[in-house]
Amino acid sequence: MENTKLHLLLADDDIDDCDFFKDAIDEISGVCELTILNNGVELMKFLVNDPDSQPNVIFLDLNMPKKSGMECIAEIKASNVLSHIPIIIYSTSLDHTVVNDLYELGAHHYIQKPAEFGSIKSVIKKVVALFGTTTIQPRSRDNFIIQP
Amino acid sequence: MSINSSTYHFLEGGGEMGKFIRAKDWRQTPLGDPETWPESLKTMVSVMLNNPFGMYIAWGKDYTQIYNDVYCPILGDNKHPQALGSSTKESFSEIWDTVEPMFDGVMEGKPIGFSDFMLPLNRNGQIEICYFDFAYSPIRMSNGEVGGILVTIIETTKKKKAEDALRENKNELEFVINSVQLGTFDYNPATNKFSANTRLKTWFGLPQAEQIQLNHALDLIVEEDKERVIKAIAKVLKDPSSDSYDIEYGILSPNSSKPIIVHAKGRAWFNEEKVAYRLTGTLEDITNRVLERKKIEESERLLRLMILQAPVAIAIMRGVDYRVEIANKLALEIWGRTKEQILNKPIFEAMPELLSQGIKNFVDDVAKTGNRFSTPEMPVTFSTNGELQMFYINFSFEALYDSEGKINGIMAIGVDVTPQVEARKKVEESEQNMRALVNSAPFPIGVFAGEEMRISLANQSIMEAWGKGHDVVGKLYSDILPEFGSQHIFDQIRSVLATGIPFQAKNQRIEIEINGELHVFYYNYNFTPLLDASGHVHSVMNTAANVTELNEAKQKVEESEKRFRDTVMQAPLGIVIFRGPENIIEMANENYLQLIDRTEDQFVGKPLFETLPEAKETIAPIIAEIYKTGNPFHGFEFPIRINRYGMTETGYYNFVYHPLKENNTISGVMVVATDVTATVKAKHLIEENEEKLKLIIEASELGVYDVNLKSGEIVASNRCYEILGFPEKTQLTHKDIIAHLHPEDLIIRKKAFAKAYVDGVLHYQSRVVWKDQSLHWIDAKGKLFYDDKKQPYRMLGTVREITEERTFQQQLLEREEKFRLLADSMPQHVWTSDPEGNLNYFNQYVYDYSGLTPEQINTEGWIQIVHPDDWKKNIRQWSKAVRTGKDFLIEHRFKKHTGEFRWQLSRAIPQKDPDGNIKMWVGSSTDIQEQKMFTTELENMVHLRTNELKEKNIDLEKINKELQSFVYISSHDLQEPLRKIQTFSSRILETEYESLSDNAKKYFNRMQKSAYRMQNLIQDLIAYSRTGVQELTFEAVDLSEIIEDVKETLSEEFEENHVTLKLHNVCTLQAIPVQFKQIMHNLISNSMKFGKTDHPVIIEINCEKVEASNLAVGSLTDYDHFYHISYLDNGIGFEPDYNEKIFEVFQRLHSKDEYSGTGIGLAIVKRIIENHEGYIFAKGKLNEGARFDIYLPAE
Repeated sequence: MENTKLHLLLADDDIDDCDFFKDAIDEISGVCELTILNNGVELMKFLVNDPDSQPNVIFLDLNMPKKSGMECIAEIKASNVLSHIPIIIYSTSLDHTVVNDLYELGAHHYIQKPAEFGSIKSVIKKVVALFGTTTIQPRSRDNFIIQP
Repeated sequence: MSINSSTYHFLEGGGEMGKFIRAKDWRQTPLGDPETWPESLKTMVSVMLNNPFGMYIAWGKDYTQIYNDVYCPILGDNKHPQALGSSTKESFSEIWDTVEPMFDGVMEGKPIGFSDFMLPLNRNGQIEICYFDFAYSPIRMSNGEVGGILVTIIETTKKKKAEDALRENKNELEFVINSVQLGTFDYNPATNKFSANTRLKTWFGLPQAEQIQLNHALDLIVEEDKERVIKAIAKVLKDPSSDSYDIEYGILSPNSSKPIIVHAKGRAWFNEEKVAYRLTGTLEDITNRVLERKKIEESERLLRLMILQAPVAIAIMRGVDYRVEIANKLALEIWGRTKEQILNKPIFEAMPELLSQGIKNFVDDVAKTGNRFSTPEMPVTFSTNGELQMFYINFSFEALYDSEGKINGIMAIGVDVTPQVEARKKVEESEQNMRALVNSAPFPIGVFAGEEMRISLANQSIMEAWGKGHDVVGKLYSDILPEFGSQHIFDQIRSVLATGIPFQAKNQRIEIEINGELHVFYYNYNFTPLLDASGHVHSVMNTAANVTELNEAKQKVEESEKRFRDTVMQAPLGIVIFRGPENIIEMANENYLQLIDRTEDQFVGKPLFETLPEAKETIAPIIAEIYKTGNPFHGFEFPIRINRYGMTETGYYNFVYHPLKENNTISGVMVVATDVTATVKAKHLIEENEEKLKLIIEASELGVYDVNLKSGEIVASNRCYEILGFPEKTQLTHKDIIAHLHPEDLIIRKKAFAKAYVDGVLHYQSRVVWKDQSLHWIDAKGKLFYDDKKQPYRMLGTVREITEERTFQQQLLEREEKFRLLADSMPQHVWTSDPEGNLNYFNQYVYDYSGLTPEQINTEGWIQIVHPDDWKKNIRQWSKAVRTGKDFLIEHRFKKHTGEFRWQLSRAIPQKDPDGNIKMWVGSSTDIQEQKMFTTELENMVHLRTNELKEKNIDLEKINKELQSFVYISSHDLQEPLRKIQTFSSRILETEYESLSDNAKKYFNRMQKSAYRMQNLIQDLIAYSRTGVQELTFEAVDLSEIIEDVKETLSEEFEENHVTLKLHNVCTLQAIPVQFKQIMHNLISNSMKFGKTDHPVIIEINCEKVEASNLAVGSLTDYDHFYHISYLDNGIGFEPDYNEKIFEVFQRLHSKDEYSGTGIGLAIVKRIIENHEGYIFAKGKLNEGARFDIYLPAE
């Protein structure tokens, strides 16, 4: 990833959260390219129809209309062409049973949406640091939750 | 009291499985209550249960299984007893693919069976290969449909193994028969049919049918032999003492153009009435052998003819004593003997006069050296008709050789020259006379004079031999017979002329040209020097004997003899010939050498017992007997010890020792033998096994018998005779047995037999009276066997003495009688049952109370006395008691004759024999109506209250659930807008901070704090609501690990507050890890929140296991042991008044501004500990820190 920017994709129906995320990316400036989609159906359509512009990392909200984040991750991990894309859950709540289920489904990391804007930035920076290298660390339960 | 004997009669008996089946709750199976079973199923179950063969029934679409005792071992421990009542599909899932189509077929009415079906079964801890006869038969219901399948199974492992052994033996025998190329037959005179092996049928060209009419075979015998064979068969079948059947005859098979000559051998088998019932034997194809023999005989006949007609006296002598084998007429004339006087007799016995004349020396010399002895004009005196007469004879003795170059006889050739000699003597003065004499000599004589070999004399015979006419005298020998030049004959004559040494030639091949063609002759001829007065050889005389014919004959004989020997050599049987008193081996074929494991060099040419000394003891007498009687000796499976293959072992042989005769004298023995060791050993093994089986049966207490139902013959074991009271007898008739039977029991036996003839199984118990008048009980069982026509022909069975058992039963009956008398006088219900739970006695009180007659109870069952509402429970309890053998105890209602139901306490206790087996149950029922009425009322009230409570509980649970989901949803959804408020405010503070007034900044800070506290509040609420919902999975939890975890989570706060955590003693607890962590988290958070300002926080934690009884805490009684965790801090503490209160939700002791905290933390702690069935106590003192004592159960 030396010459190309890290391509992040955010799937979230909450316009405020999308704005915060976009602002945070803008302020980090220059290292990432961001695609925002507002529900699960759009996400799946984007991934399937546009295989050339596959993102490097997907940020996935769980509570979405039409198709929930759970359904999306199950579909993506079941697909031969998509399953390699790391998925980071980006959700308001942090329920341990839900967290465990998502790890089992194949999510790479779990982030509880921070309340502080500064924390949103720091959490994105951590992700960029993790996925901006050529070698991606394998999943592990110990490092599953990323704190801001 | 469960199963009514009249309704479930079909489940009676059946041993262990009977118990299982009765105990089984069939309502849980597709079959349902046995009462509702179809009649045919009931019948089959009853039959099956009491059947001595393995049986099982697969009933209905599910193939629900019921089976009997004998079937259990086939199921094995892993299937029995769960297979009972379950589907075959499950029990035999591993072979269901195979079984299903067969079952389906049976369900369509098609029975199926297998014999010797192989199943590898795990029995006695190892896999055994077992064999079974299976039959699947459809069981039809009354409407004709197939309701289920009856599987009958007989284990045939032993039979199969025996059959295999037998087959193996038979195979071996067949192999032997095959290898010796024999045909076999087995003739039954009763049917006039015989069976034969394929080879025999092929020879005869008979069809390959199993049984063949004897006449069909006889028709195929060549006409000239037929009568002879019929007579031979008749003879051997008529007389047991007659010789065995042994005959040669020809067959003209329709399949073959040439007749086959066979040698049939056999023996007849006679029954006790001396009537033959079998003729078995073998046939050997001896066509070649007979043809060879005929050829040899023919050539021998020719030789004899030739010798007999020869113009010279010829005799052949054989053997050590020079028996005259042949002597022609001339010889007899010379000897002055008749044929009868001389043939086949030792010559020196027949003509003792020769012994004194030195002739024997010549003969001995020839026999020893093989050198021809010849002498002209030998004067010999013969005794003719008692008169001695002298002859002059020119004679020679020649050794005769067999094909191997051994001397096997002497040929004497003689020419009576008496007249000639006498004449010569007269003519000696006159050469003329001599010449005339020479001339008339019956053998060729010629004289050749000088080097030039001018013929000076040639008699008629020589001229005829030469075939060159009569005008030869005075001519040169070489001119007359130029063809001799190349045959070195002239050289021979010249040599005689030169040296004076006579020349002799024997059997010399001479070629003479007669009429322009070369003819071959064989001559014995001499060239003798004739000396003049000065001893000078002036002429050579030629005498000759034409032996052409003789020679040719001899060659033929040798050839045929060689052929015979070759045949023998190649025969597949072991053949050996030995001769003479020393039994010198003349020949032995390869098979024989293999038989005795010797090489030809070791064996042939040597005395038999020099090579086989180990056989001398057995064989020498046989040979001696043959020489004595001249009869052949047949050995069948004859044991002989021979050193072979490196050890001395007893082998078994079939053989014939056949005398070989020369001149009617036995000169040797021919042995034909085959090795049947393997067959015999196999036979011995079977005999041994049978012996073993017999021993086992003898050793058991069972008597065993085998009755031939047709002949009435009984074969029984000694034990059987013993039981029946015939210790000394070994042969019994039916009469004997009946005589010992107790007269009263004769009818029992008769009935049992009548039944046995119907269903094939015999079983009865009866008494026998022994000779000493003692009474014994027997238990007899038997099974009938049927022949092809379904007629019983055999009964096999066992007899067991059961006197002791019966005596015991008798005593029991007597005791029971006493008991009944007693019971009938009791003012209580008293009843008994058999071990299977069938009630068989009720005392008088039962009848008085119920108003029922014994007949009513018998036919309609005792259950009618019991209140219908109690039936179910009653039957269940009673079945359980019968099954487990534990006391039966129940409260139920009995119907009085007035119609009133009264409560009874019934109790039954099993009566056991000394071995602990239940013999019967004795039960009683006591009226408890009064007591019962009181308790019932009480129960009713409790019941009412319980129901009310239950309803309230359900309502409460409902409300609780609603509340929980409300808390969860609201707190979760509240989080989102709250977070937004925080984010937006953080954005404003970050980006617009400079443009805010100081006041606005202050308000902003407070707004943020409020939002933060609200966030904490919501999170704690969620946590609190969750503590009751989460699944309770207890794990071993290490206290120190938990605290380390919490330290890490709170690391920043730890540093901020300068916390020191002292962990004294650590335990491993049984707890829900997440929740337990929450406890420690909340406590430590509290310690930090409520620390004294400017004081470092010190926390001390200790844990130990304690006994509940040692604690001064009253409520800790649920468990014996607890883990006691004490938690101390040095914070602001609280007043003792609040020891209880601080655990309530939203209970805060301080204002929000003084100390942060939601007021939920300790409520969560308390709730979690209650989840763990533990206790927490708080002890506070203002400004002296807080103390928490936690007790968690240790079990």
